[in-house]
Amino acid sequence: MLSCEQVTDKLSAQIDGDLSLSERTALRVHQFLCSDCKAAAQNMRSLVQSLRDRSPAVIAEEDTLHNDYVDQVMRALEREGATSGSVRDSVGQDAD
Amino acid sequence: MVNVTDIAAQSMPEEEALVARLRAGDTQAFRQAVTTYSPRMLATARRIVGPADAEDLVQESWLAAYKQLGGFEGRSQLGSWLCRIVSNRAISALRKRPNEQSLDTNLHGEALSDPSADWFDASGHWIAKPTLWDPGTPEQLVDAAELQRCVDHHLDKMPDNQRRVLMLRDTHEKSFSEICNAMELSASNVRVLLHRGRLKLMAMVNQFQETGTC
Ligand SMILES: [Zn+2]
Repeated sequence: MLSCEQVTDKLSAQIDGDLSLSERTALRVHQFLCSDCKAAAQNMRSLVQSLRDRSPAVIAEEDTLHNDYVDQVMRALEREGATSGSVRDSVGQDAD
Repeated sequence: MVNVTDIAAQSMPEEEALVARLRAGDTQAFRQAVTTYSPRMLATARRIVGPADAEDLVQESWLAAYKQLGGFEGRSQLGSWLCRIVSNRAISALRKRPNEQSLDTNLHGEALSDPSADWFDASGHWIAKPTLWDPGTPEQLVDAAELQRCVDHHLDKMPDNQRRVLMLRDTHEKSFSEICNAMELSASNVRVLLHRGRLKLMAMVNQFQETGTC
């Protein structure tokens, strides 16, 4: 039987569907008999699912908007024709 | 600083109304959307392409989002949809970059160190037995704001390559071949980076469960 460490080494491969049938079976059998490895597998599954489509929290200074950024994006959008109204009241960098 | 847990909670009807106004080319709606969603998009971009290119990438993503607005069906939240546009552009940006592997993560150093190395005794048995997390469902994990903040801190501490692999695979569900291609890494390296990154986050959640601290 696989050791708990060997099972843990293959956890990602199990989740990503990268195991052969015999490996998959060996892991399932171990996880059926070993509640620790069963818990570890379930925890990793929950973790991976919780990361899916996740919007990251804004915790770094770099992710906060500096003063002109919104204006800059708005000007770019206007050049693309996204907006109908005038957005150039802020800075007239490309006023023509 | 903008608190994302607050703005992430835009109600659906409010969001639908915003999307309708965006489609109509309403300037104020665009300004509101850019102000509201850019921080999250920047956070996504920064974690994949790095801080130097994040702002440009997000600006391009807004232009792309404008062109694709017709295809937004409201099945996902607007914020997730925008972050997906960012991640798609980020992976193309990585692909175009010269291989920076040598400048970046020491593939043999920290990124590949095995977080689970001291979880087991010499015969491969658990030293500290894992317990099922509580709350244990993915939804509950996502709703635990403090925990999510902690996840982000740990993502930020990871070597660039490892964070990229985790974000691209687990957050944005890119295929292994896309990731290998964009990062010029072998499939086995990508898989090891991913596995060990996940183990790091597992260790983090374990600690959070035990001590309540990040
Ligand atoms: Zn076991």
